[in-house]
Amino acid sequence: MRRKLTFALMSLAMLISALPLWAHHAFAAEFDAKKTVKVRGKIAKVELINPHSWLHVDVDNPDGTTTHWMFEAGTPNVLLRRGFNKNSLPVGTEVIVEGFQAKDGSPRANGRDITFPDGKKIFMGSSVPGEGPPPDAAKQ
Amino acid sequence: MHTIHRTSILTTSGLIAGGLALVLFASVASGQASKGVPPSEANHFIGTPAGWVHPKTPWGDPDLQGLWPLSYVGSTMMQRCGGDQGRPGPPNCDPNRAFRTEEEYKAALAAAAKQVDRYADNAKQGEAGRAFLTGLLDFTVPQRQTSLIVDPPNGRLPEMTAEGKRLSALMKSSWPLPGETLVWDSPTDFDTWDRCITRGMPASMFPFRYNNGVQILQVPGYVIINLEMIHDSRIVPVNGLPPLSGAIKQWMGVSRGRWEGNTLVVETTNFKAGASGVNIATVGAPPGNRFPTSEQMRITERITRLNHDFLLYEIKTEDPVVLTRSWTARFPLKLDNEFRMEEYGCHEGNRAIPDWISSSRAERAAQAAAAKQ
Repeated sequence: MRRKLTFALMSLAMLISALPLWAHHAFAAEFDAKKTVKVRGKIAKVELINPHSWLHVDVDNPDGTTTHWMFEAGTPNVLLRRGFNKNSLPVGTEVIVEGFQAKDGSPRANGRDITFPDGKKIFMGSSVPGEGPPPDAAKQ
Repeated sequence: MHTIHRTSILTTSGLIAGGLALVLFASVASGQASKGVPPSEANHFIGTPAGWVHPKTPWGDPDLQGLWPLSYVGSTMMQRCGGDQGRPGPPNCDPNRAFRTEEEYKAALAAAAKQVDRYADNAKQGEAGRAFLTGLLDFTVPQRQTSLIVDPPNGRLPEMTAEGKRLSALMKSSWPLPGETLVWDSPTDFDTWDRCITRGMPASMFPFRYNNGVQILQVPGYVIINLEMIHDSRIVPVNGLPPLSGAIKQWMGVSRGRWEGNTLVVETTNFKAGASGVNIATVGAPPGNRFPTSEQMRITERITRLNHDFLLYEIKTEDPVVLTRSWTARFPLKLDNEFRMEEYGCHEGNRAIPDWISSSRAERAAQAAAAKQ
């Protein structure tokens, strides 16, 4: 019983750590914590807007069509204060994005993680000294 | 017996508040060099150096201008001995202790110094994308005080009246109460913060998880309190402008200010009812964003600069329709003119309202379909 409880608490902790740090509105209002999604595509647009930023990713489908995914992100003001800017996630970069899909099943999700297809984490852009992108990052 | 005890607490509280006001005025008499006031509980450990002269604007008003982000007190619980959003607070918490001991305060500072800057840490590991997606919080600083609320003496929000409870039950929000399942079909099913309209008062003057910028600007006859979140600007006349008609109601109320020595006193009335008086994004606030306010609410703020870097901010809320008694918060704010207060257009980018409604309807449709099978 105790082991089950520990496992349940650990699972809960993992779930909480995967959810947004804080939001203008309640996560559960729109997104389903049980409905994880993982897509691979190219960044189409980064909107540093309030109350939440949005990352747009174009995902090519096997039938030749493209699905435009939108990932809800954090509030931009604190990021901007720490040096994050519109160049930090360049348009056209190929990425893998993970998140929790909207309850209505549309290609909209609350974002959780971004990586490059080769497994490297997304770079910082040139906004933090010494933490710039690899020279060929934009071509990846 | 209970009533007598409560009265004696209130009287004591009043004496403390009066004594504090005297201490403040004595420390910074208008236009004169201060004799010096050491840090103590009375001034929230913000001392005034001997010889310090309060700065003045070119037209002779006490100068409070600058950026005073609320995040300076952002980690201090709004309510003493409580957890966040109505959760249980720490065990063995003493509701009568308004300040940490010196040892406790030093330990809190040391613990805060060890905390990783999540963004810098993520950036170092090349994980800025996660910071972007999951969000960041403004930096906070541990405080000596154990709660932002200093009156009632237990540091907690007062009980609501029966009418306050009735109004609370009618309020809507995206933020559920414990165990509550909410549904949305209309923009009016959300609170004013969900809808990017306002955080209302007094909630706007409390620290949030993010967007804590507060800028004070002054021109002859007016003080402007400019808020980052929802970009509300409070225009406070200090030129003796008469009150507005009670028929005029605004979310942030109508303010009138005056100088008492170097203290800016702002009285605000004429509130439009409906916004939650406290907001869940303030650490230690109650859950649900459903703390009602009425048109009878009256808010009195006292803003006193105690030295070049600090001011002491006090806000008292009275609302006889909603609350069984008044409540007062008091805390220091630190000058930080390096704080970049960013733009906060919110309604224009608020996709959440239609998205929430769409998700809520889809969820209910799925449940109904499952029930039929």
